[in-house]
Amino acid sequence: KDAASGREVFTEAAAPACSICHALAAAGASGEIGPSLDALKPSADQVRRAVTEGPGNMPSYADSLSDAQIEAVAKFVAESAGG
Amino acid sequence: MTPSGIARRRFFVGAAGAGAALGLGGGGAAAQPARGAGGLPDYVAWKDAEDLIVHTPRTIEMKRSAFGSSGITPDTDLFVRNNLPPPDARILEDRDGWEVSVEGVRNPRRVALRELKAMGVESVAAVLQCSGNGRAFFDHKASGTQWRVGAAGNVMWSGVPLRAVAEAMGGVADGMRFITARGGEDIPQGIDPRTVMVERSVPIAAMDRALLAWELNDDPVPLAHGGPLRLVLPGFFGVNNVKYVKRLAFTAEESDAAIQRTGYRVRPVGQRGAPSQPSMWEMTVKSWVTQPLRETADGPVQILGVAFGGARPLRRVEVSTDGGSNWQEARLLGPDLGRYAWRPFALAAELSPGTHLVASRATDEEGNSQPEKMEPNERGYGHNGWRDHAVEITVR
Repeated sequence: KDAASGREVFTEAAAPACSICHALAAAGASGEIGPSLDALKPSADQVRRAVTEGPGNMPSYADSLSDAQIEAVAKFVAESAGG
Repeated sequence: MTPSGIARRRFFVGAAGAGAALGLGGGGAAAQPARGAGGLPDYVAWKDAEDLIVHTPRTIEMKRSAFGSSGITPDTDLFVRNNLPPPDARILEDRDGWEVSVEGVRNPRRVALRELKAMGVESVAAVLQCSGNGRAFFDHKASGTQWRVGAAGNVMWSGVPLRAVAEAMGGVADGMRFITARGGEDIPQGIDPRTVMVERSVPIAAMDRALLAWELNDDPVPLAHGGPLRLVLPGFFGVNNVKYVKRLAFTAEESDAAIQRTGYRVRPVGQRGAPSQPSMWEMTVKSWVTQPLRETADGPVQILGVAFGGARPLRRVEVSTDGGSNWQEARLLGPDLGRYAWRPFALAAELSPGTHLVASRATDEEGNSQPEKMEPNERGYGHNGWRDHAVEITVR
């Protein structure tokens, strides 16, 4: 269930959606603006931090996503990218 | 500076890279840039893979062991940090035809690089350093590339002074307080450009040293480093030196792009980025040892490193071989390349068998020295603490 809702956050709920900028095969995403998550293989903690902090030119989603949504997308990315 | 053989090789590699980039553009699934020899992405395939650490295809660090003592960083070793994918290499096919929109002057208009070249030319040696250089030395696991010392280089730029461009267009319009530059990278559909575009503002006082540069180390600026045209702001962190500059504006307010409003802001750990926080503008005093790094035989040794004052001239650099208990002033090598350049330094030492914590500590003209410890900040920016940059050496 977490993975399903994490995928939804990744492709739809987040604004802008993670999939616009990042590649992640499990989400059918091929964005080329940010690093490929399939290549980066981040841990859930790394995703959580990036989503919250907004490194470089990545926006922070701390105000636009709930803690539960951030948790879900962090787990989804870490599990599906194999990090 | 560059033997013609290398220049030719670069041309052919560049041409092959352009073809590969075209292939990539068509396939949505092919999100990974092709990699050439040495694991380097195609757009930097001409670089020296032996001297580099590839963190991601767009964040590439120079190894600490690769810094020499001659002062200038070859562009084959210079770090790369692109916030967005670089534009297609085809933009280099007609460098002189590259156009930049100049705004916030009395007579705003688009101007081509060939015309900029006729307006004036100056050159400057300057340290180019990523805001996050040294992030790996913080303990709080800030997200982003874990740079150690190699997201920095000292290079020569040539271009037209920004003040000459403004003069040619009737002067800066009244009330303008910032220089605002936007990169020419493509932004995908479905996203507000302000969310991800690279547009940075710096105080207009930087006008006295800003260049619109077309040459890096005597060659046309490579795509990876912002060619055909890059805004160069000596003394400012790398992100402000906007690549592929397409819009150069004098503005009353800072850019409302996220990278300016909330990105590259210094704040305590756990806080969100906000426009009220200090922006990553001018660099501070810094140095690091480059040799020896691990083991050496006992007896005489030359401890080498690089030191710079950031936005202020360098006054001196000291070296300690006992973890900071005792310091000796090091000798600055080579010519003084100006206030924005770094100086290699050397200290002749006799090291006894055992382990030694070798540190360097630079001081600028205003008397600011590197702190022993750098206070952590949320994004891990601007680390210049000397203790974390020290190296432990084993003497046999």
